[in-house]
Amino acid sequence: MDILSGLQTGFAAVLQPSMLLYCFAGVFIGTLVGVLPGLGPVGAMSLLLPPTIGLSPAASIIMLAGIFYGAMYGGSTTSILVNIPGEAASVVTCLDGYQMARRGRAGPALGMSALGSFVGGTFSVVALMVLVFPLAEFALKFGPPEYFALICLSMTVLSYLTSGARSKALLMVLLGLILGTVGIDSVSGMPRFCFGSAFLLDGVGLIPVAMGLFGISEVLVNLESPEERSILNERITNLFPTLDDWKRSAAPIARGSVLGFLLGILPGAGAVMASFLSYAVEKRLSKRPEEFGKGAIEGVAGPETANNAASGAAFVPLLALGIPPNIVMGLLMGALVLHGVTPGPLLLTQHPEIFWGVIASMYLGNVMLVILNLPLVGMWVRVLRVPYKFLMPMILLCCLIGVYGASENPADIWVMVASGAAGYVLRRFGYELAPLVLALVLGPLLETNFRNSLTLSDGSFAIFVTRPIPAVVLGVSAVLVLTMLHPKTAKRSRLAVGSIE
Amino acid sequence: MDTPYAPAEGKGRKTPHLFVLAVWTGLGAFLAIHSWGRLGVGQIRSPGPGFMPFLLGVLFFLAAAVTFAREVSPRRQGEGERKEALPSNLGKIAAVLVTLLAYGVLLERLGYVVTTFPVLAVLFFAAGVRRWAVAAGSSLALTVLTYLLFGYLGVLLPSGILPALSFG
Repeated sequence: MDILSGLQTGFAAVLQPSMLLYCFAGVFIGTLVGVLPGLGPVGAMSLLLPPTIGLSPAASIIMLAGIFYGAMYGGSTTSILVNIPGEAASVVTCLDGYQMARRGRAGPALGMSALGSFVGGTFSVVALMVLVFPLAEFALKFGPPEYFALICLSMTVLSYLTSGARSKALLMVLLGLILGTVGIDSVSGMPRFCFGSAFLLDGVGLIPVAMGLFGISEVLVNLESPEERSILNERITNLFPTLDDWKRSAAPIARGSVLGFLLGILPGAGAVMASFLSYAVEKRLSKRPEEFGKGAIEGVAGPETANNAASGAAFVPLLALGIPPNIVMGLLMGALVLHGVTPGPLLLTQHPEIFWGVIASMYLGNVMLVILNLPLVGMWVRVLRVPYKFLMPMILLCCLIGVYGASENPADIWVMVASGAAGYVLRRFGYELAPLVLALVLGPLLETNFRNSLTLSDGSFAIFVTRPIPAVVLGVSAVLVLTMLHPKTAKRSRLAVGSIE
Repeated sequence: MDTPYAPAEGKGRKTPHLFVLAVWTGLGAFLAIHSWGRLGVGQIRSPGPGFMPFLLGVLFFLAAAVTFAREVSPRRQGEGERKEALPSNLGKIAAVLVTLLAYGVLLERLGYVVTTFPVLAVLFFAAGVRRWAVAAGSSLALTVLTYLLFGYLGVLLPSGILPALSFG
């Protein structure tokens, strides 16, 4: 199927009232989640995963994907107006966006943020369409050793790029992989680590664990130190940037699109790293670097474009290879698997309606988001004024209903609460949770490919070094792991990239 | 916001984290031994159900042991001790967790409406809503709203002791 006919298929599927509604619901909830500090896109997707199980695979992914890239738009609103980032990829926007707002230029800051996000998001969708087919065709030549190596690299890079101690991130990856072995072994049918419990025969559920680790633990952390928010009271006017704003922002937007897309494809990098690097690049290239940190519009345009470009790019390895590059894509992969759809190179031929439907929805979703974030920005300002003490119980209730609704098994509530408590304790000790959940998602795939590789090679580990792709990829992973465990490099990384998207 | 949470650090004990690392080390050892002895690792050309857990157990043991050794090394001691500060709202956090666990126990026995209303009231109070009338009113409104909304979305919520409230 060529690109034009594929787009036709996609738009035909998405331009149905119900699909448009799911797309709008996703981007609306994503923007809301991005605006409100306290529940990031990962937590929101975990909450909405259970209700979407009853939808078609395409509708489910369209809605969940909308939450992801919608949060990139929404996060900048609270960064600019409150100086508190709504989600990790908008941290950098606080630096100049809030300063612009203090000088009475909140409107142009919000406007440029939304328009830059639109350009970045659209660029990444176009590039996704162009890249995914050749990559998928290449991936059809992959066997179990190649997939095993790529999954290892994905988890290793995510741990390496963590802002916390790398040795702790490595421990979380291993713990996630271990949790993934609980349940019935798919090859032998033997129960593993069930200890006589029928509940554990199906393994450790992704939904209760993810909701506990990201939803419940986040609430507990916020209970510890409730934040006071003061919102700028000036009326927001002149949402459209001036000609001078555009002249200064055009190049940062162009660079942010490319930089964000390239980083979004890489496992472990993503929107957060893209926004930080874009800011650093723009400051380095600017003729007026002294203005950065005091209200330079380039400091808003570049990073916001980059984080949206990265969010679209993250779909490339998921859809083409079946390997999620970050935790959000891991949840999307979990959603696809729950619907009986296996992401990867065969998805494009076996389920073109899902792939092209997602592409078309991303085009439409970006248009909806510009409308939501520009003329309707006043609505989000009102939302920001809702005190957290009212939001917190709502978030917890959504967690409870969400996890119960997925399985109608109250034991999942206990798993979620236990995961939440464990997540809170782990975070207090400086452990990050994204590597654990990504490993939980990828663990079964890793094991299957590893065992199949050994069966293929009749027990010889040489298969991982004699084939070029696994040899190179595993070599890189090994170097990164040794670096993580080395005393001099195992301490906290100076680059505050955050790890979760 | 999904960002790494940096706990307060200062002078004091770091025993709690060493305890956690010791637990990780023990867990790794247990996994390796259990996988080898009970599950069976099979043969290299045909790995058994315990093969991967055994490998993971060994790696986990090594990673935890290395991290533990580094934490107790003399060089690390010279960096100054860190305190894992107790949270200021530990009681509130514990109350929220107990409330959520109780919700899981009572949900199917008492039903969604009867369980959710008091639990939400407790959560509102824990979150900082001091006036009981506001907490109770908000709880009631949220309970009814979510019951209707999720019922419409097809999420089957238990009716419990109020069978008249069941959907369908």
